[in-house]
Amino acid sequence: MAYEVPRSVVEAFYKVYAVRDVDKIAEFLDDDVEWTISGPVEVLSYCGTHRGKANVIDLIRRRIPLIMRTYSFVPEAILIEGDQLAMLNRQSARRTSDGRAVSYRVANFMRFRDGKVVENISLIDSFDAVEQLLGCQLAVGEAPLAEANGLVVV
Amino acid sequence: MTYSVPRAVVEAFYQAYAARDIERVAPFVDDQVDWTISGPVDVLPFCGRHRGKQAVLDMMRHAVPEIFDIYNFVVDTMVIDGDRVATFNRLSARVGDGRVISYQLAHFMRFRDGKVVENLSLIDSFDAAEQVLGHSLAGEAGEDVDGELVAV
Repeated sequence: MAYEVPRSVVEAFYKVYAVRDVDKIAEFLDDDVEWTISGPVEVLSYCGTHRGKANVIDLIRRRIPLIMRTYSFVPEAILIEGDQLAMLNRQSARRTSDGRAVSYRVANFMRFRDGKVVENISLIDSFDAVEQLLGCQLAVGEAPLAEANGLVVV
Repeated sequence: MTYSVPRAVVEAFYQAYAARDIERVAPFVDDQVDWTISGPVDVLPFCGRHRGKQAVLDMMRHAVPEIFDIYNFVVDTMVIDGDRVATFNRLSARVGDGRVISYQLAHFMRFRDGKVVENLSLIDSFDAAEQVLGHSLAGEAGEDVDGELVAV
């Protein structure tokens, strides 16, 4: 029979993940976890795919806090079906360099096995996130559209 | 008792949605639907909040095709929990000059009586904007934070 992650496991995981309690998060990570954060890795170096428990823990404990420190993680939707978890949260953080506040939505799609996360994909509104984290508007410039009149780039 | 959307309804909706068959999508959209697409509205004008069935269908029928023609929409993950549905998808399209673009997006929906009453689309908007514009956005701004945040 296919594995079904208990709601209580998800709730326990969420509780520690929301506050970035890395030691307790570690208890919910499979040794071979695959953790992907969508976004431009050339701008936000923590984006990309991170394989293995040690790498994911290092990502959450050290690499992301070099850029920002999350102080609020508010759920807008938490869905559980079978071994899958989908959640939508509003993440608020402060840039580590100067304390500037940033806030954007993040979606997580996770798969559990035996009470542990084996796979995660984080999807963020990456344009918004990059603008906030860089602290400036991206220069979108001119758009090379042959026929569209709906794309108006300012 | 709270409403639980049947998987068959969700699958039928996505069949029509993936095919961009607006006439078949319409019966799944509530008159008072609230449909939000996160992203830079100055680059992707269909982003933003669309209220009401007519506005949402108009967005699908006109606003999106003015930017690109979607030729493939693949649902990678579908999670259904009560009246809520979350999907993780990949969209592929052609922009006006024929270039192919492809990006990931998530839907978080709420259904009532077999119809979508609320949707939030979260897209990998930096990737989508770069592809639609046809040039890199990473070049302009940048700063170093102990070597971790590096814009090139």
